[in-house]
Parts: sequence; C-alpha cells; structure tokens
Amino acid sequence: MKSLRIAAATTLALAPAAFLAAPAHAADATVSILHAVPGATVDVYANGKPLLTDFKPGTLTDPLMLPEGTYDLKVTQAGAGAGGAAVIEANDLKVPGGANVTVVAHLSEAGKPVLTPFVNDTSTIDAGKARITVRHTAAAPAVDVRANGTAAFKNLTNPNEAKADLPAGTISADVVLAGTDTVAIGPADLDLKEGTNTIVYAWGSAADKNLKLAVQTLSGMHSAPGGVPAGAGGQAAAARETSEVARYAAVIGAAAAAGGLVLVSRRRAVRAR
Amino acid sequence: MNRTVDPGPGRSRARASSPSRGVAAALAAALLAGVGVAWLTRDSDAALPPASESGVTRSAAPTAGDAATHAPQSGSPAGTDGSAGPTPPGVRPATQQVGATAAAPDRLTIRRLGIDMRVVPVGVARDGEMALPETPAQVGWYRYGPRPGDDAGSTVLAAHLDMPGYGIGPIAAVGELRTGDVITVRSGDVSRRYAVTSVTQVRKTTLDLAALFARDGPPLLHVVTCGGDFDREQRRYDANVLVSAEPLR
Repeated sequence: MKSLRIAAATTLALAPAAFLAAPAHAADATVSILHAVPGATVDVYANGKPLLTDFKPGTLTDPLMLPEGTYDLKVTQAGAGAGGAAVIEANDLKVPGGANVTVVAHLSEAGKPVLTPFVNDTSTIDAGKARITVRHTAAAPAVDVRANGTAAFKNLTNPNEAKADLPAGTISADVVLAGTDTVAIGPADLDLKEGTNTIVYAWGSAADKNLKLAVQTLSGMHSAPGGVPAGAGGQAAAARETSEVARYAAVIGAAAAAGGLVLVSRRRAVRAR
Repeated sequence: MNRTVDPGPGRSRARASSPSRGVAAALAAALLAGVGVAWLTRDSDAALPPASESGVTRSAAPTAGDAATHAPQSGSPAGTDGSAGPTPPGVRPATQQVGATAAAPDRLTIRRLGIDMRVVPVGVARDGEMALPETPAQVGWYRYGPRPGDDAGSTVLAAHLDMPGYGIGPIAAVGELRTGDVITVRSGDVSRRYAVTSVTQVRKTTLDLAALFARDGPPLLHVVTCGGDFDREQRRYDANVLVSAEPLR
C-alpha cells in the first residue's frame, strides 16, 4: 500500500507536462515547502524518494500537486543521500485532500529544527481587501506583529499563526517582543495585493541574531465588487422620459394627420362623383 | 348587352363599400404614419442585442465563477515548466515578487461620440460596490483588476451617467456605440485602441459581476455606466449599460 502511494506521489510530482494537463484529482492537495532553518543547505526526501536537492535557507518551492494522504518527510544535509543522517524527520505528515498546505522546515522556540505543516486560508476575499497571515517559525519568544506602528497581532508564539483581511495596500510591518517596543525584525514594507493571501514568516534565531522575514504570496482569492452604481442624478432618465412623451405625441399626431387627410380626400372624391 | 347591364363585379363591389373603404384607407394611412414616426424616433436601445447575449448575465457561459477562476494559484504548477522527464519543483527566494506592471490608464477617448475623459484609479466603496469618481466628467478605472495591455482579463472603466448638480455626463453617449467603433485608452505614453464587440443593457439583478470584472480570460475592455429606470427614492438606476471591446492590433 505504502509503495503504491509513493509511486503515485512521485508520478504526480515529477510527471511530464502532458500528464499534468489532465484535470487534477479532486482529492489532491497543493503543497509548498519553505526552508527556514538558518545556515543549512539540505536535500528533502518524501517517502524515501528525493524531492528537493540543494534546498537553501530562505527559499520556497512552487506549489506541488500531491494526492491526499500521509507522507514521511526527511531532511538531510545536501548530498548526504537517502540513507544519510536526518537533520529533521517527520513521519505520517497528514496532507488533507483539496487543502493548500505549506510545510515549513524551521527552528522551534528552543532552537531545534522541526517540520510544521500549515494549512493556508484560500477562501474568497471581499473585493478591495487582502489577507495577511503571520507565522512564528523562529527560535524566539512570543512576539507582536505591528502594522504601521500599531500592534496588529499580539502574543504570537512558535509554531502558531494569526491572520486578518485588511484593505489592500502597502503596510510597514515589524516584529517586536510581545508587549514591548523592542524591535526584533523590520520594519519592512509589505505590498498586500488585493485578493491575495500574503503569508509572512518570522524565522531564524534570536540568540544567533539572524531573525528575518520570509514572504509567500497566494493569489486567486479575489472577488468582484457588488455592483457598479453609475448614476445618481436621474437627469438622463428624466430626459429620456421627456423625449418619450414628445415621441408619443409625434406618433399620435402623425397618425391623426395622415388618417384625417385620407378621410377628407376620400369624402371629397365621393362628393365630386 | 352584357356591357350595359353588368358594370363588372369589381366596380360594383367597390362602389357599394365606398365609405368603409375610405375609413380603412384612412386607418391604414394613420397606422403607416404612426409606425413610420415611431421607427424614425426609435430609442437606440431597441437595437441592442438581448441581454442574454452579452456574456455578463448570470445565464451566460460560466466564464467566471467556475472552479478554475477561483482556484488559488501561486506560481506555476509543479512540473509544467519541464516538458519532458522528471523535474523537481521550482524554487525561488521567499521574498515578495515585484512584477513589472503596465502603466495605469489615464484617458478615455471615443472620437465618434466626442468623448474625451480623464481616467482616475478607483477601488471599492464601503458598501462593497465599485467606487466611482463623484463627477460624471471623469471615468473610474477599477485598479484591482487588469490594466490595459495586461495579458488576460477585463479592464473595467466606469463613469456616472448623471449626478445631482451636474446633469448628464458625457458617458451617456456610449449607448449609441455600434460594433466595430473604436475606443482609445491612453496609459501614460501608450495609447491602445479597442473595437466594440457589443453594447448591452443588463438589469443589475442579473448582472454577472464576476464576468464583468474577470481577471482571467482574453484581454478585454469593459466600459460601464447606468441605464434603465431610475428609482427616485433610492437614487439608483435598475440597469447597467455595458460596452465590451477587444484590443486592436
């Protein structure tokens, strides 16, 4: 059973374009992988098969379509081989069908490398708005995330997330130690594009003074405005009504005139005879 | 003998029914004149194709709102960039991608109708509807949607038909557009020409907004204003006039 699943996973993940052109199976999941462990270039194995090689910190994969199920992921030093020592190992990682998941290799609060799957919110966003998701994946204590100087998300801890739908636009974001003004990361300008989910990861290690932000953007959740209210005066309607009245008058007038003319000329003709 | 006795069936019948024939002729003339005047003064809206053909009513083909439109995407699907043989997924820096975007539109010109209006970027009003410039003298461009020159999707330009204290805006004339008429949209140094493909009036209750504001599909220009009947209490029209145009190469 397991080998079947591996075969299916690798076929789908590594298939030529022609095969992928077929409609995706309903139970497939969209999976991206983010490397957020400072310093180590790694290889990633899924169910014993190589998935990524020379994967560098601060980089993110394009989304992979994977059948739903459970996966055994193993991260090794680059070039260590499938049998090499695991930097991180996570077995029976659940990938729910239809979900959009980002698997993050990062440090725990205590500084130990771990793998955490986050399910991304890809629900429809109201017109004019953008979603921001913040994830604490750093070896650091609880933080507040501030937008334009105001705490937007408070007391966020590793490995948790917070999110909100905000008016689309650029914000200046920074990360402070929870309840303080001590800036740990940033500030950085974030362009929150309408209809997208901008996912911001705080990663690295406070002790090693290499805390950073990583950004992932998911698009396609936009919706249309509720309508186009393109007239409030009524003058155009009034002008049209006026011209309608004039039009009916012209129609009736012309009909009466023509009818009358014919009638009169007929009577004259009869009388003349 | 026959000649003197029988005046011929046609003539005798004609003479017998002379008064009623006169009335019939008069009525026919009245009808003809009435229809003629009605036709000459007909509303140009009457020449519009039925709304169902517009492609922006709910009954139209599911151009938007289908799964593909809203399927969340980011980047290219795995493997599609490698045409043959196994390829690992693409990897890129986890930073915000700064894509080059075309300039925003700033001028709408329709020479045949004498329309030459400033275009300003607009978004969404508090009630969730498209926000339009207050003055009917200006056109709003829905800035979250595609720009002129983008590869896919519909650029939406909309202006008020009328406004208290202003009167009727220049955009009111778009109802007179015919298939093939040229619309010019300027974006900075670049002017792009579009050919009108349809002019339709659609009741707001049946308008397919997802199709009107499509972010995918062929690159199109949608020029929108109001039409139909005006509700004096709500200060709203009950229909939209939609002009659809495609880029001219």
